[in-house]
Amino acid sequence: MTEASSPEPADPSSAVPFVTPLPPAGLSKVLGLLEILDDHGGREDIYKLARELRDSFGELIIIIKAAEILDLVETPGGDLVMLPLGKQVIELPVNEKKKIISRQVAKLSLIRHMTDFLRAREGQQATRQEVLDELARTLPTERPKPQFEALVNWGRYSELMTFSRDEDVLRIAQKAV
Amino acid sequence: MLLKLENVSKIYDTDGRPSTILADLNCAIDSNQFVCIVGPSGCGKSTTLRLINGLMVPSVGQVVFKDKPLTGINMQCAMVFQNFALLPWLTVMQNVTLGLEARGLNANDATKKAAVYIDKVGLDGFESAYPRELSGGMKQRVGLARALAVEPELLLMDEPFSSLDPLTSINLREELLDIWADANLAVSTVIMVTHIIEEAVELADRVILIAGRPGRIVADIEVTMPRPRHKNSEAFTRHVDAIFSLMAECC
Repeated sequence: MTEASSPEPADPSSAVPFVTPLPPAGLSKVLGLLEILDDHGGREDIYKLARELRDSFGELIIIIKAAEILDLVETPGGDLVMLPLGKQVIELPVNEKKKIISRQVAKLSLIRHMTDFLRAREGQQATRQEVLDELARTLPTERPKPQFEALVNWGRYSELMTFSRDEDVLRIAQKAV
Repeated sequence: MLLKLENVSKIYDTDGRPSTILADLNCAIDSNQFVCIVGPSGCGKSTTLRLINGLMVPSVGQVVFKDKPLTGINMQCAMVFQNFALLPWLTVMQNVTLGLEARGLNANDATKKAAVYIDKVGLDGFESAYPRELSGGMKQRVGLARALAVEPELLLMDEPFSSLDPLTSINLREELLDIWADANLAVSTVIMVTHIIEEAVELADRVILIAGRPGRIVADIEVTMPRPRHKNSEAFTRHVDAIFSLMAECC
């Protein structure tokens, strides 16, 4: 079972909640990965894809990890395999794709935890430093800054959070209130 | 007929001597086509786009848009650039509304219209972001939203994917086809410059090959494969090979 399919809710009241980090990958790249995997019939060796894309293997693995935690692909025995949800996503127009990806993003433990963290605060918002501190507390083995960037990027994409660079404040998006 | 190039040549003055960049371009492009212009670097592909949208004037011949010779900037065209051409001190929303306000819309109407096109390109949620906060793919979506927001009939794209990594580029190409096929949008015709033949075969109904010095149209190839087109298919490879062979013969 992957993160997005886990039924366990995040617990904002626990001292250090169990959350898993976000892969620092752009969601456009995840969608591109699905397209290329579809060109390969829905299954391909990961090393062959890396060779075809002339991409850094390390970066490709991060993108695959992102697709995996969103329940779009699985990776049995070094292969990349399209899951039904991944196939469904690539056949949809832009905004329908976005809806499904957003639904999956909303299930991730870090997103749920940070959403709860923001909701519990006055004005449903926190400064960048407060968010970085919370990320450092909940993910002590991760570098907070890349997690912050990923949180802002995925939060904006899924329209759960907004971030104002002018104010340096992360907020619950109006649509998500 | 949407667009015609009639005996179009472009001649620059280089140190007091005439230098012909493009010579005797003749072609006609109908509505509802996706046309790619391909050719080696320096053959005049981007210059051709600038002649079509009126940013440049032909030295000889004329560009005819909807049966009227073009005499200035073509307001029914919009352009998407390779390097995104976003203003870094403006947010996504402000970058998109800028062109609308320049065309006379008041701020309120411009914001409403911009929001529609920001949504169309999947950028909802990023309205207040600055370009530096965006990936290359997201920046190009802003460029696309800005172009679509002026509701052009003809969309011109100058190597729009060449600054992007392969995965982002694949995704955006798919989404561009969806946008082009969207009957609710004003844009009916796309002319895209690329130097990547696979990209042209994946997207276009028609591939125009410009080559030589000065650049001339040396081939005009119809691509009749149904979409979606899979790169690993035999038909796809056959089309790519045919265009590569033509290019090799002409360069």
